[in-house]
Amino acid sequence: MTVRKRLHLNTAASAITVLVVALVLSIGLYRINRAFGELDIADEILKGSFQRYTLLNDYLMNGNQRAREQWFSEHAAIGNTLSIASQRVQNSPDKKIIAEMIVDHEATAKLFTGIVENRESTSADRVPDELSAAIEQRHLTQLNIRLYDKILNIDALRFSARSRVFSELKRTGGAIVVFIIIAAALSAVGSWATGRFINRRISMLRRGSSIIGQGDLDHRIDIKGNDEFADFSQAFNAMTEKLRMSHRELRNEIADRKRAEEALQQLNETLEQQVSDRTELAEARSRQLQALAVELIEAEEKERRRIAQILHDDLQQMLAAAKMQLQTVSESLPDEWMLKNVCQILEQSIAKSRRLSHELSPAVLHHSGLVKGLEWLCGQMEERFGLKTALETGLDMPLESTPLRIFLFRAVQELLFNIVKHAGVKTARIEIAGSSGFLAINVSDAGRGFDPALIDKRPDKMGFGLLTIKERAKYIGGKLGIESSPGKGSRFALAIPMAMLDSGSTRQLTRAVPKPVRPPDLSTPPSVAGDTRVIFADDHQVMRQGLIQLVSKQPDIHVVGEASNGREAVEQARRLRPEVIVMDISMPEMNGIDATRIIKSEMPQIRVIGLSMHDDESISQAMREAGADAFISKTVGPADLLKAIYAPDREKRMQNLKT
Amino acid sequence: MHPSKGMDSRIRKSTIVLLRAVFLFVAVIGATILVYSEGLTANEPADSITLAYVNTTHAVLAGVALRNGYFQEEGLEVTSREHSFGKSAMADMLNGNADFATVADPPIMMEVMRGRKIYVLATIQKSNKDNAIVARRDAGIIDPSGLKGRRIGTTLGTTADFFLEAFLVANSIRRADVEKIDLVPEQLHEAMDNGRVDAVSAFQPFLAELQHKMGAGVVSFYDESIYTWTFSVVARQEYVRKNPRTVEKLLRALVKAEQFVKMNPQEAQKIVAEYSGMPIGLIRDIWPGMRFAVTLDQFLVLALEDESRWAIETEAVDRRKIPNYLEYFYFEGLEAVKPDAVRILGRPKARSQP
Repeated sequence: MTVRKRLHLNTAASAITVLVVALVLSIGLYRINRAFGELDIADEILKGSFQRYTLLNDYLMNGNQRAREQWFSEHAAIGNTLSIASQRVQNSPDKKIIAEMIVDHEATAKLFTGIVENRESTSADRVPDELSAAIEQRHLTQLNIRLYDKILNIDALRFSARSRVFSELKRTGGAIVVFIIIAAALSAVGSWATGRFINRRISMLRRGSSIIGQGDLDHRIDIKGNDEFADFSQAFNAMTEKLRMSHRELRNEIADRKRAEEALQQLNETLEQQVSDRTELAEARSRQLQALAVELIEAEEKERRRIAQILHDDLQQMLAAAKMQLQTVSESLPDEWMLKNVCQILEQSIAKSRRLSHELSPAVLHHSGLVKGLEWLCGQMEERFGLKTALETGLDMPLESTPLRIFLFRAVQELLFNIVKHAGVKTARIEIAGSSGFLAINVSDAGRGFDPALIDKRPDKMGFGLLTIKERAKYIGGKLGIESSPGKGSRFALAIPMAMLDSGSTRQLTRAVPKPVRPPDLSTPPSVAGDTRVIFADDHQVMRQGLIQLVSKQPDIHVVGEASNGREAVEQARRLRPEVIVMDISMPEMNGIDATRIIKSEMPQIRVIGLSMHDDESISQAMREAGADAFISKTVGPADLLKAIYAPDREKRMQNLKT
Repeated sequence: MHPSKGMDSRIRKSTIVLLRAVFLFVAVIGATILVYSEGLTANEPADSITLAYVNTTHAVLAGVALRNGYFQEEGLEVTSREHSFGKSAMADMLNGNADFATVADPPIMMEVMRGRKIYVLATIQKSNKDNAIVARRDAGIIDPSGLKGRRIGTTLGTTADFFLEAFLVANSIRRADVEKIDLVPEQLHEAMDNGRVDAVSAFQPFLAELQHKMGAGVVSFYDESIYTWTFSVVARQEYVRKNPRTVEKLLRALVKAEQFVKMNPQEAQKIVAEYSGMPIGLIRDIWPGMRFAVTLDQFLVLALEDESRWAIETEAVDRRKIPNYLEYFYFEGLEAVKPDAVRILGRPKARSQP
């Protein structure tokens, strides 16, 4: 049975109970009302009986007609009441009482009539007084008996009516209570049964839903019947079945997806590995390309330098030696214009060769560092293109890496060339500073400017120079920033990590500079008294022989040694302790500047005279900073060289003479 | 534990507790009923009594109680002594042959006036039609006035005697104008038949028997208004005081008989016919005039007083003063058995309130 029907039954039971209670109450009220009616009749008879008794006494005392007629009237009224009572009363004992009262009523009339006739008889009919008194006594006695009997009967009627009232009240109340108890019991039983039924169903549902909720989708709620819970459980089971199917499909789908994901992941890993490999390969290739580019640049630079060295070491030395020998020869010959022409031609050849050498590879860059190189560059730019460049440097650390130094120099050179070509101005500015772990070189101008976006959009328009700078900067972890806008000049910011300045990679490319080592205290070798002991250090044997030959004619100059590079020069200086060392600048293994720095630090009494084909002030400055006492160009005449060799000796001699 | 399993367990426990409570309740009620029923069925030793009763239609309740075993049910072992009329039965009781007697009101009055210490225990029967005057037509009697100067047979000291007295007065005939002949009821027919008397005053069932035997040769005079005949149960006061429980048992058996007669009048008539030997037709004829109820009411007091005045006037007794008949009524017995039936004016009502 459905819960709804159960609840409807309970409601119907309650409604029926209310109806039954109402019906019982109505019947009870009807009966009570009827009992009260009977009570009223009894009271009416009682009242009439007493009134009639009063009239009897009135008649017996006064014997008047009025009392007699009233007695009969009252008697008739009582008779009517009894008649009504006989019809209305339904209770069997009461009906019997009423019947007795009616008999008594008739007897009473007969007795009173007897009294009246006895009293009102005519003289002819009159009986003796004694008999008349007996007659009245007899009738009055019977009337009294009837009256008593009537009172008792009325009391019985009243008691019966009152009993019925209370009985009906009890019966009605009891019936109502019983019906209410029965209804309450039925309702309670119904509610209990319904509650138990619902509880059991809910318990089964809860247990089933809990099991299903814990993941057992194969479980089914086993509720049978035609109630809502059975319907609900069927719906729940159907839903669970769908859920199970969906779950299975979902599980399969998840498994498929997992497999796909695993395959994808595997593929991805493979791809990543491949990409990684390719990237690594590409990076390696890129590095190789960059390295090749760098090597190419370096090769170019080497080639430049090699050619410059050839020019410097061979051609210029030869020309210088030729010029020097020519001058030496010409000193002993008469003044001949042709010799002078040859000498001028030699000077011009030396000058052009020197310029070409400088252009190919500025020696100052190698000997004196980046800043000096840039200063030289600025001078060149102004000399050749009229571009006045202001150089501001805040860099206080040496730049040991030669490739890096060359790169930076070439980069600045390229940027300055761009200014010359595109900016349309005659001034530029170079700022060198180290900050935030980067060495920053900014080259700026106030020229035409351009849109940097155009370069990004059209890299081909960037030009090979800028592209090369950018690629090389990127290769070593730096970058080239361009700030410019049309009409507002340009600013190129080249940033190189500080770590690169002395990094292992660059350090490998950097020529090792031997630290000055104080040699053991060697005894000064014996020298010819008064002679100036000289060592010539030059890697060009022709030049070295020419110089030896030049001073060999001097009686007070004694060439004690010669060296083909700086290292030998240092070793011979330690060993031979000369007064003068004529030191070429550009030499293999160790250049003249470094050798001079070592020698001067260990043996400051030795005079070092720098000698070079370079006539740059920067070179001369570098030599002086290394401790050289004099610097002369190879292109000068022999007199200048001797003057340089002698000059301190003369002062020394003069000093000796004075002392 | 699973929540639903907990719910089932609670329901199971509640059901067990409920069943236990119902079992306990039934057990207690059963034990109570058993004890109570044992109390009810515990038999007391039966009281032996002797009842002198009239075996006609005058003591129907006593006869029915005897025949239906109501006295035995109430624990009374009854020895019955049958009489044809109440005066004889009471005389038997007063002579010590019986403990109780059924008798009409005039004999009671006569014995009280004579100083007998008796108690009226209850009235068991009433009638307005139990008495009549039967006169011979051939004696020239056709109406009550014809009785004047006649010889009228009757049983003195009985209802027939009192009815005759009342009837004569009501019809303006002095008692000196007639000659009363004392006859036992069984002699009335013969006296009428052989002309020894011109009329008789008789009570049932002798009245009906006489009328039946005499046929159309007689005329009967009734007067329901002048006399109401009652039949009561009486006992000696001494006996009643000593055996109040026996009195209650007797009255309870009579009340049972009253219920039976009211509910089964035809069965009762058959019973009366069986023990009285009267024709059932005769019993049915006189049955409607009789009222069967165990009572003790004011009516009997008035009737006894009325009859006492008559006895004094006729000098039937020596006593010249009417006694207080309430002193000869034993109320406690009927109040214990049927309190509503005690209807004496001025006496506190012992009946149960509705």
